[in-house]
Amino acid sequence: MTPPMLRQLRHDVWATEQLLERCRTLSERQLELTVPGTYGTIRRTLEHIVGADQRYLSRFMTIPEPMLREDHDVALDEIATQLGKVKDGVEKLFAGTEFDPDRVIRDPRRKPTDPPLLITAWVLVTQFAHHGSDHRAHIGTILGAHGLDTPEIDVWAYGNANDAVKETT
Amino acid sequence: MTTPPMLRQLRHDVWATERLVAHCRQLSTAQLELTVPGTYGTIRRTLAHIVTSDEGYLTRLLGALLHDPPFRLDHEVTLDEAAAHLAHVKDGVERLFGGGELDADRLLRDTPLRRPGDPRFEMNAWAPLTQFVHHGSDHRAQIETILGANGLTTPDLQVWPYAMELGASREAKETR
Repeated sequence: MTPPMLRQLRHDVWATEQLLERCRTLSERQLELTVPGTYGTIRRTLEHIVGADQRYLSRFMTIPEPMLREDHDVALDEIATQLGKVKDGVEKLFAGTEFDPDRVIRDPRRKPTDPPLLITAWVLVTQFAHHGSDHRAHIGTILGAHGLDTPEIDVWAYGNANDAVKETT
Repeated sequence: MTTPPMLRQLRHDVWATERLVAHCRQLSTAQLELTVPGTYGTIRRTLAHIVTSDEGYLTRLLGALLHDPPFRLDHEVTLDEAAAHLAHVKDGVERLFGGGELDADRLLRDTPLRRPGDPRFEMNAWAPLTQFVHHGSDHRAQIETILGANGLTTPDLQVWPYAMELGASREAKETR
């Protein structure tokens, strides 16, 4: 059986891929659109989703350098390349021995004088899935508020694409 | 015994909706009717949609109604009503995982919520399970956008504060 958590994370990556593809049809000016109450521009939000995904996974494994840095505007091609590393990382996380959700990970802080955080593994994968849907919703709102089409990225569309959800007669 | 990661995920989801409902209780009736373009609708309507959908996913997964009549979005739902039904969701999630990890590949042939004339959908159990989580985060984000766009405070619904509450994320005792 495929672990349900792996299904969740695969959907998450697929949804970001779909959204990225949708955003490739936007103009440079449209990528800079935003609305109050969201994270920021469409481009910056896509960067943030993928950058955060990499940071969550980096607590478990080494992500090939260079990782995505969120300190400047990144081209969509680059975000897509970085998302490929996330996709590989998700598969790696659940490959081989069973994923141990209770494993405690020691996480150094950005400020060296702060004590490290002890994070239980399930926290990171749970946040991964929550965070992606949360910020993709921001982009959906921005697109909708500006009269632009939004892609179907819920699990029904994913299930259809993977033959796991079917209408029967 | 290890708690299944998907149960952790669903527990966080319910916690986040509970926290958002509690936050929204501080709003006035007029504020509950706020919305912004590009979102599902008003704050009140979106909260109700999250909870009715959660009940729908669980009904399909458990193969039985959580209660009869089912909770449908066919009227203006109060926050008390949403909170009461969220308790059903919370119980349903625990029942779903009562035997430990569930069989996510199990084929669900129908839902007890289907009305005569509605199409029938077959799906593997992982689909409504995954949708539960995606859907909750998606619509809670819309409510937070509405709050933020209207200059209102937003609660932190991420997994970090949830994990801190449970002691699953904490500072090490020593300094580096």
